Amino acid sequence: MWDILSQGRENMEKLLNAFVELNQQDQTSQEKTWLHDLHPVTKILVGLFMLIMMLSSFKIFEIIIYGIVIHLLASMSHLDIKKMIKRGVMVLPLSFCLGVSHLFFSRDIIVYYNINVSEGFILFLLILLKTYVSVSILYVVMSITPMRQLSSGLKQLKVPSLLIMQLTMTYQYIFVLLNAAKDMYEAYILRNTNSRYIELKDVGCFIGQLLIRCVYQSQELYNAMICRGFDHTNAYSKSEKITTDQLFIMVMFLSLISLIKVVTP
Amino acid sequence: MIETKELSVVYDQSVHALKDVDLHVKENEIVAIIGQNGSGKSTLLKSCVGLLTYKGQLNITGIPVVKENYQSIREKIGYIFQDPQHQMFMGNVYDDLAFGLINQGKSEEEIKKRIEDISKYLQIDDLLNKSNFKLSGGQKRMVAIASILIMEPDIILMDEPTAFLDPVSRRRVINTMKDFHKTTVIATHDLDMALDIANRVILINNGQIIADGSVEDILRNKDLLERNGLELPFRYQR
Repeated sequence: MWDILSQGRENMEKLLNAFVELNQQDQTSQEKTWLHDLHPVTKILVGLFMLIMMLSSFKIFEIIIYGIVIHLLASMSHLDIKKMIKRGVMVLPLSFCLGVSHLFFSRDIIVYYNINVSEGFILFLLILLKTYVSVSILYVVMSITPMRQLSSGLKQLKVPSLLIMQLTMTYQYIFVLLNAAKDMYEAYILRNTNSRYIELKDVGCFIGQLLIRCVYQSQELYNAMICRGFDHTNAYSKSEKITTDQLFIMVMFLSLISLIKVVTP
Repeated sequence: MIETKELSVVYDQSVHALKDVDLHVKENEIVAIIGQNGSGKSTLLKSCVGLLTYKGQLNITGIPVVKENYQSIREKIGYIFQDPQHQMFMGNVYDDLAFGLINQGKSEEEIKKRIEDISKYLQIDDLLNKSNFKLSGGQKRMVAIASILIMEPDIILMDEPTAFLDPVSRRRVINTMKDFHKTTVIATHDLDMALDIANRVILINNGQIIADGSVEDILRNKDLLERNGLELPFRYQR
């Protein structure tokens, strides 16, 4: 029985630790490098622009160059490159599953950089590369922008406050949800010693109870937030205005990304 | 500082959580509100910060608790929740302590300084970078207290501050509360704590004030306590 419990607990702990890591990422975003000091609007716009440029490209070299640039930026921000690569590689099995069909269904031979190669293979490779670089771009932006700054940046970009609220609340409530799920799971396993997982017949009830519990806890959390001055109508309104220097840096970055697009063969 | 007149709170249109409560808490008074479960202690505290709708009059430092005044009232009052877990919503302790100050519009330097000061004062400076859900019950309670004290409120409301704590953590919380030097209202079952800290006790039952007086008068009155579902403090049972 204890084996089952400890294994279940281990799984839950893993899940929780993944979110602790997310939080640690938020902590790395508070370090001090010139990239961390950039205005959140600059970081968001540059990240978004790079993402759009990269995703709209069908040139492998161009995507590789975006990948190199993002790794350089990560290194300049003192981020853990190994962890970043790990994150990028982690999602590859998913894109592998999505892209593998191209290998079988798109068998036309095309000339790509003077090499005869199957179209399906190029598409497959592009999907893998784009996935990896997209994750890396998001990782770097998230790692150098604390959640608070991210929210204020989105607000300055006129993203509807309802969406920003949802983003920040999700970030704050996710720990509550996981803790509640962990407690309930342990209580379940202790009273259902024959099963290692939640049985199918109990899943509905489990999820229902979890949601009810979370609604109550979230309500209490929200009460605690408003007691400490939180107001969703003007939350994050004290954001700094973007300066000319910051605008110049943003233009430089956007130009660099555009240049990569134009110059790469 | 806190004044209520015929204060009533009704849940679900029929459950009277508070019935015509008249109360006056003076500046720097430490009031313990005691009563059995469901007697209306937490309801009274929550009404003071505008978390519940009520009938009657409720003023905090002369300002009526109505929607338009919520912001200014919540700046004056620090509310410490019964379950500290409900009060902590940021990823780590540092961010949680900073949350209220950011909402108050304090500068980054000011926030940093205040966090340093309060964490040293409450001896939680080693927890600042820890994730909230990795803290023990006692640590969570101290962080919850710190997150309120850091905002320097005029009035502190505490809901069961010693619940779920081991004796050492309980003692630590009590000693901290002794040093508040602010108007404090504590809703509690812990009569020994009330004996230690409070200079006035209010006994509530079924949403009504049954007794209001000095600590000695109420906490030594065995009949009164037992009639209202409580027992004498351990210190007086010996």
